[in-house]
Amino acid sequence: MVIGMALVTYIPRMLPVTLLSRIKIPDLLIRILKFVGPAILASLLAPAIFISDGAVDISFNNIYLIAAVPTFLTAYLTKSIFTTVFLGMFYLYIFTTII
Amino acid sequence: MSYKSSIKSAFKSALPIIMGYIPIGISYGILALSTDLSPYLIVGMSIFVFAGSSQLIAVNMLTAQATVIPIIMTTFLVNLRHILMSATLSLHFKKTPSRLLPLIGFLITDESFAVGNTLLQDKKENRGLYFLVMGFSAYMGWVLSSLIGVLIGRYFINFKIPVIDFVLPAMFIILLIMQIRDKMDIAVSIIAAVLSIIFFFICPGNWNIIIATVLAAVIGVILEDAI
Repeated sequence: MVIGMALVTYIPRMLPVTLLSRIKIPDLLIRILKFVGPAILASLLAPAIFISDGAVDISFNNIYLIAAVPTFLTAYLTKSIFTTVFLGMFYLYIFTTII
Repeated sequence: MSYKSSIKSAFKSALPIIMGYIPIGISYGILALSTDLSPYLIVGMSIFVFAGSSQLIAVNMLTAQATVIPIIMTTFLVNLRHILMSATLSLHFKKTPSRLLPLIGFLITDESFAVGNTLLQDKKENRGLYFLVMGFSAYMGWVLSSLIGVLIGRYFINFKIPVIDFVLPAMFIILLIMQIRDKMDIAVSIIAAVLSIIFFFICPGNWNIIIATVLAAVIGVILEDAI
C-alpha cells in the first residue's frame, strides 16, 4: 500500500517539473499557470471552511467560517505562516468555547 | 548571493512550514496507531509518500476498513493537483541542472509550492538549490513530527488536540494570501473558491480542486484580455 501511495504521489509531482523545465512553453500556458497559485489554494480552502457536514453552511453555526475571518486578517497583516496557524487555532478555540 | 547564505535563507523560509507540520504530523502519528499499521510503516509512509492530507485520508479509510486499491486511487486523486503546482514551478527552474529536477519534484507539497512560488520570483541564481534545501528541511520536519506522534501515542497518552482540524485551513489561508499579487489574483481566487464548492457537489473524489483551478486560471486570462 505504501509503495503504491508513494508512486501515485511522486509521479504527478515529478514529471511536469522535470519535463517542462526543459522545453519552451507557449506564452498562453505561462499566463494560465501564473494564476494556478491563487486558484489552487482558494480551491483547497473554500470547501474546508464553507462546507460543514456535507452542505454549504454560511451561518454562525459554522465555527470554521467564523474563525476564518480573523485568521484571514492575521494572515494579511502578519504575512507569517506560523503566526497565522497558531492564532487560527486560538481563534477556533475561543469561538468553540463561546458558541 | 553565495551558496552559504542561499542555504541559510532557504532553511529559514522552511521554518514556518515545519512549525505548521508539527501539530499535523503528531496527530497523524497518533491517529495512525489506531489502525493495523506498524509504527515502522506509519513513519515509512511519511518518508516515502510525504503527503500530509493523503496520509491522513489513508488512515481514516483504514479505520473504515477500506482496502488497498481504493486507498491508492484516492491518494492519486488527492495528489493530482500537484501536476499543476509542478508545472507552475517549472517556470522557475529553466537554468536548474536536470539531475536535480526529480528530487525537486519529490519535495513539492502545497506548502513548499506556495512558499517557493512566492520566493523564487525574486531569486536570480541557485533557485534549484534554494528549493531543495527548503523542501528537504520541510520534509525532515514532516518525518520527525510523525515519528514524535508515533512515540507519544505509543508510550504516553492517546489524545486528540481539539483544534487540530483547523491547522490545514489556516495554513491554506496564509498560503493563499501569499499568492495574491494584484486585484486579478483576488478575482481568480474568488472564482476558484465558488467553482470548487460547486464541483464539490457535482463530482466525487477531490476532482473539484483540479477542475476549479484550471477553469479559474483560464477565466483569469480571458478577463485579463477583456480588460
